[in-house]
Amino acid sequence: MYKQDDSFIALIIAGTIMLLLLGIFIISFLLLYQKKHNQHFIDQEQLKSQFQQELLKTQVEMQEQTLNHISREIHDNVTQVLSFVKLNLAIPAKATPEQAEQKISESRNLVAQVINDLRDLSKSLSYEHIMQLGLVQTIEIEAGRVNKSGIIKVDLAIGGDARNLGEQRELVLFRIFQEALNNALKHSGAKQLKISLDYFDHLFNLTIQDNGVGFPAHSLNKSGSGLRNIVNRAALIGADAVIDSAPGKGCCIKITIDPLTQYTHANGNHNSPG
Amino acid sequence: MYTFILFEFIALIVMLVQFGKVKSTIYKYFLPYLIFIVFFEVGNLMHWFGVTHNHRSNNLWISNIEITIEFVFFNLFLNKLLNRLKTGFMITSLVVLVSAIDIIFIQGIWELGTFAILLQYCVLITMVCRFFYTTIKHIDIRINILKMPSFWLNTGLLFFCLSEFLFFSSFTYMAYKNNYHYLIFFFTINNLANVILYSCLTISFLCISKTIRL
Repeated sequence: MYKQDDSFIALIIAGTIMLLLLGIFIISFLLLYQKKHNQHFIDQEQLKSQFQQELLKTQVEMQEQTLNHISREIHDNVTQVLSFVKLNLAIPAKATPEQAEQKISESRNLVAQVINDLRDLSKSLSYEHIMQLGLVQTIEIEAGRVNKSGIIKVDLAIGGDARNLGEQRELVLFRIFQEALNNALKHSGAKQLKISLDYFDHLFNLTIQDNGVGFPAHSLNKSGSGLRNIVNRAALIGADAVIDSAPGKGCCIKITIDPLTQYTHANGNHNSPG
Repeated sequence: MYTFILFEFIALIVMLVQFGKVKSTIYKYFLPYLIFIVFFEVGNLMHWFGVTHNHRSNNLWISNIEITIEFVFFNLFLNKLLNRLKTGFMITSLVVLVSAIDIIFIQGIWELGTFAILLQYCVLITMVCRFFYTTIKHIDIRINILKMPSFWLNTGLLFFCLSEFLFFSSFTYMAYKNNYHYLIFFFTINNLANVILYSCLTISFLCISKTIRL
């Protein structure tokens, strides 16, 4: 009888220990959950602030680029044309009225050209412009400007119904486009640049492909900050960036994004099938 | 064996010291509760409540009342914490009614109403779990759980109920057999459970600042 009671007591003790362990588990779970929740919150805040910083950096870079462009345009174009106009208007005293009228007419045409150029310049690609015009139109203007310069031939193709991807996303995408364009102009020696923007229901693709000298896949990691910036910025808006290049085969940069997903603010990675 | 009375007394002293901060919160109701508990335990120690029944001094009748009051207090308090006082009143009333039937008609007033106690503990454990679930749902970075008075109160109550649960479920079967080992274990566990509960309550009172309303 006593033996039976003793085993019963042992059973109760074991059961109580189990219940207490359950209590410890509940409390530990609560504390761990709060710790993880707080850590997650802090991480998210850090990513958000990193995102804002990158965005600010992008805006500043765009402004710098715009100012450089304006400065170049004023120096290479406006100043030159106005100097020519000045020379044209310095009509010698012995010039006939017909000659004078021709010079004045030429000058008027030149001034009209300068006015047009200045108007184009005022529409120069600033942060506000992307917000006002949207990504497609801004890229069209930029492509037109490059085509006009004659340095490289830019082909632009738009597929699907173009729609707004969100101000911040469009800003970052435009900055990626500028970076890719700069790389093509400075390093690739390309004669042609194909740009395509494809709008699908759940997907957006921006492809920038040049026919330049290209580079070996392994040099991607060692390459300058330009290509790294493209990959990091793409990741910033939750997009995937694939940079595909091989010597003599040009370079293709493909940015893919699902417009319906939230920003990930995550670190990017780059692929090169090489 | 009666270490827990010391912890109940410490909880009462801390409550008195903190009363200035506590009086604008619902924790102020702990003052009359703790006075009652300390009075009851001291009374038990001094055999004030012993009534001769079947030629033996019996204080189980007042233990039944004290445990039911304890349940009513904690259940209403937890329901108030969760902003469901109306439901709390209904559940409390129902449990008190069932407890009264058990104590008066089933087990008898001269024996411990263990069925009633188990039912009360089940309700309290459920309420504590509900509180933790609500806390997880509304967790906020600005709030440190370890500084929440309600966290310590619920933790103490959870361990108190869990540790005593199986001992009360076996009380009717074992205690009246006067099994020495069982009684030793029962008093040890009861002592420990009370020490945990009142230590947690003391921490809870110390966590209360003037800005906390609950």
